[in-house]
Amino acid sequence: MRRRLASSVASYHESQQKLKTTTSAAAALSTSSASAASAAHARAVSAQSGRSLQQKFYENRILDRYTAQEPKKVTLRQLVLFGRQLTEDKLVASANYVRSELPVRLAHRISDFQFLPYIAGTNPHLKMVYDLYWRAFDEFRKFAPVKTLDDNRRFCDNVKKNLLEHSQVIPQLGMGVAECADLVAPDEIDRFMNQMLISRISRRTLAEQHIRLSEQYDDDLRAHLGLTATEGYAQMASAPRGFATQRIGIVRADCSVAQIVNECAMHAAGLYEDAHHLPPGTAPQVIVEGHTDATFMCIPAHFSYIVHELLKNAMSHVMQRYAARLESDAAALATAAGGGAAAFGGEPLFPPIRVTVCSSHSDIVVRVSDQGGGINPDVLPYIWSFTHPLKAKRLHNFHAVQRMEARMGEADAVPPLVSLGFGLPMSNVYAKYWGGSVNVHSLPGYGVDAYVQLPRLGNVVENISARRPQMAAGA
Amino acid sequence: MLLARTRPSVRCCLRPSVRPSLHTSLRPSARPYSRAHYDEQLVYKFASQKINPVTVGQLLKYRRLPLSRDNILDSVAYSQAELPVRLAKRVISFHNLPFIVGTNPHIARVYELYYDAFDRLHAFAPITDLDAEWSFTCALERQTQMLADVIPAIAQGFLECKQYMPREGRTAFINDLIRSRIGLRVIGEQHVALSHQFREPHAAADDEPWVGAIHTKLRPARMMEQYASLVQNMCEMHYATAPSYYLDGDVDQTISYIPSHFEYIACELLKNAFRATVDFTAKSDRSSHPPIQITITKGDGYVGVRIRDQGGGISKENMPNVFEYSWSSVMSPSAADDASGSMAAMSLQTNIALQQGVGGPIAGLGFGLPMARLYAGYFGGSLDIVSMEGFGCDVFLKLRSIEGSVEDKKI
Repeated sequence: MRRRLASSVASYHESQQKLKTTTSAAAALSTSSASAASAAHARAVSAQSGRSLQQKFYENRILDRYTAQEPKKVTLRQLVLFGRQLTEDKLVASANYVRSELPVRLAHRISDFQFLPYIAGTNPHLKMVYDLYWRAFDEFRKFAPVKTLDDNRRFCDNVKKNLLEHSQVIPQLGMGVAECADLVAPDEIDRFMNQMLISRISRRTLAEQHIRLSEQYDDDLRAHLGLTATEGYAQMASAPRGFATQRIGIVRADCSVAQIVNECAMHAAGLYEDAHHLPPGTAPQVIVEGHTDATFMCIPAHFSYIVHELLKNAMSHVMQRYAARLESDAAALATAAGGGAAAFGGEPLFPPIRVTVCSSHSDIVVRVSDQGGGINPDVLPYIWSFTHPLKAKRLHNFHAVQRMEARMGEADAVPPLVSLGFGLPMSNVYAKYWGGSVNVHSLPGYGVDAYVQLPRLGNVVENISARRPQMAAGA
Repeated sequence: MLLARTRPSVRCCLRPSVRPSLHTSLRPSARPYSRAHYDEQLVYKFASQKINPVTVGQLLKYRRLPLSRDNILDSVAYSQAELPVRLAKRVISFHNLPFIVGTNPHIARVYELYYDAFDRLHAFAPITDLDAEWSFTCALERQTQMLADVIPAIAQGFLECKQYMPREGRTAFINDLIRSRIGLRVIGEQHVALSHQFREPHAAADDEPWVGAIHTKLRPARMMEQYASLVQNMCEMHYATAPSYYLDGDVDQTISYIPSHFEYIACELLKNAFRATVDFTAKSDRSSHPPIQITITKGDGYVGVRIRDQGGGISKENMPNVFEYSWSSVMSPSAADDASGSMAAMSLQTNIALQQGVGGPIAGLGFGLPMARLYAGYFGGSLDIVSMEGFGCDVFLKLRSIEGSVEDKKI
């Protein structure tokens, strides 16, 4: 019975592989070609992984111990206050916090996998992520407690290795859910993806914060005392960090909204100009208005991602709508060198994108307003979904993407004109993580207003959830 | 009324500028309370019938002019069938209120009004000739006038009964009442308008845009321009200063809609935008009012209106309240609790504002947004507000065109 089940699972995935290789032009990542010989191999692999899955079933009791614990959530303010006056003890405490938190959070997400329908969980891409997570979970829970700075360095190296290995998670998840689009209800998949991604951001945030703090500590020591990293730490006292520091690890306490928007605008403009082979300055101009001197406490990388995605959407819509203008007047384009908008019969080549910054006591709201014609009404109901079947076609584009960390400036890994359909839902995940939100209002025939709202003071707790409430033990 | 019809009407329009006081005129078949309990049979009989939802097709059935005698008789038959059932259901809904709430004078008065309307309208024999139809139409018109100010009366009554009924119950009751009232008025007004239209043969032109109360070639841009200008004047009158405004987007768009609905919604939203801008300028240190931007967009079978102001936005604490009845950011909390004096003054203002559509004070009544949203949603549209606290608000209004292409859309 087991063998038959395993082989039917294998044949299902085999047919999926055939489908993939015939439809997608890009080379498939981790799957072999669909020849008869490799089909047998695939069957064998699936059967084997089927067996190891069954083996894992009994090891799950270890997992249960961790899923029974709640994650200890932090706020940005806590991270900042902690990192402002670093001592060796604090750094060690931070290492142990990360060491014990990561397995708990991983355990909750592994548990999510386990409650997916069987057929989805055996999809090779999802299975790969599942295996990755299990390995990471095992590694972290077995890591000995950190007691000295040397231990910490080893711990940081370990974490860095993990972060790198896991940078393929998002594309793999993307491909996996695309293939399961007709097997699992879209709502359930969306919920699964949202939880996966939020938890992933939370783990990476903790890990990166700790690594950066450790590096800053090391740098400080060296600068302060002229010591190299290998010399004994025993000699020195801790180098206290002043309250004036506004950059604590990956957190910035006084991030300037307008500055980030302008950086993202320049970057996005560059992307599109390169992709369409346009002279610089032709992309739609981005005008920043409102409370242009507003600042807030945030992780700039997260905020940049959201703003960058929204600006990319705005620019691409505007350029598409007025695409004719691009083609017609080559002379106008040729003269459009340097800053400012290009001229097209006297007026700018494209209507500008207006970004309004608004700062209240407790929140920052950024409105990105474009005149790109609005969102296609067929797509509009699904813009927040990771996995709606309409998008499934686009998710196959993930085959072209090897690594994706959802950072701004990933142009080398993610070609800008390849639309993954991920930008908006992913931005939403980043915003929701710290208690904010992303909203989009489409004005058909005119343009789009997109709003990002984020808390300003850093006093909102991480918005991660434990695993789904399960049936009571013994039920 | 703002949108003057281009044809003279035989009777005055449905919203007279002078309204007879309810207390003196209307004490119909002086129904003693004891009789009310045992007279229920008839009402329950009607109320137990099913409502046939009004379809857009029904409203537009007679768009091919000229109207014939059969059309009018057909229309009156429909009204005669539908209206008493809906009125009866409203009456019954009062029966389910807690007793103490039902004895509140305001709520009792509204109950009487509905019962009376039901009495008068259900008693007509089936109509087969135009004379009978005309007297039915007159009765209908009269009833519509008398039921014109039930909302503020109910709201005031509920405010006085705050401690006897939970807020969700009150809100649900008012929502049902308003929705059903919109339906009643749509059916009633449509028939009355058709009846007038029938009796004015010279208005049978081929390009006649009116189908009863629906104007098939309404231009939102032109309407918004008119309303904005009017609200700007009101603002100027009250505050001695007013922001400017400008329109952009698809200004040639037309839509098929009921003008009075559009007027109500648009004016409520504009009043909020203008008032907020003036208030915020006073509070902040800017030297002039930023203009209000009105953008018209077209969709597939609907029209979008976006109103953007820089009036400081709605604070996070107040956002959940903006769609509550009898809540206003201009009203002080003590006024909300005070069940007598100031509320009486407020209710007078409310009456004026709702009666005349646009006249009256510019803010503070607490009905604008929830009712505007219900009106917008009635024909399948929507109303959304995005607040950027400390900066301003964006309001997105979507109105679905009442067109034959969605004939079987139920409302």
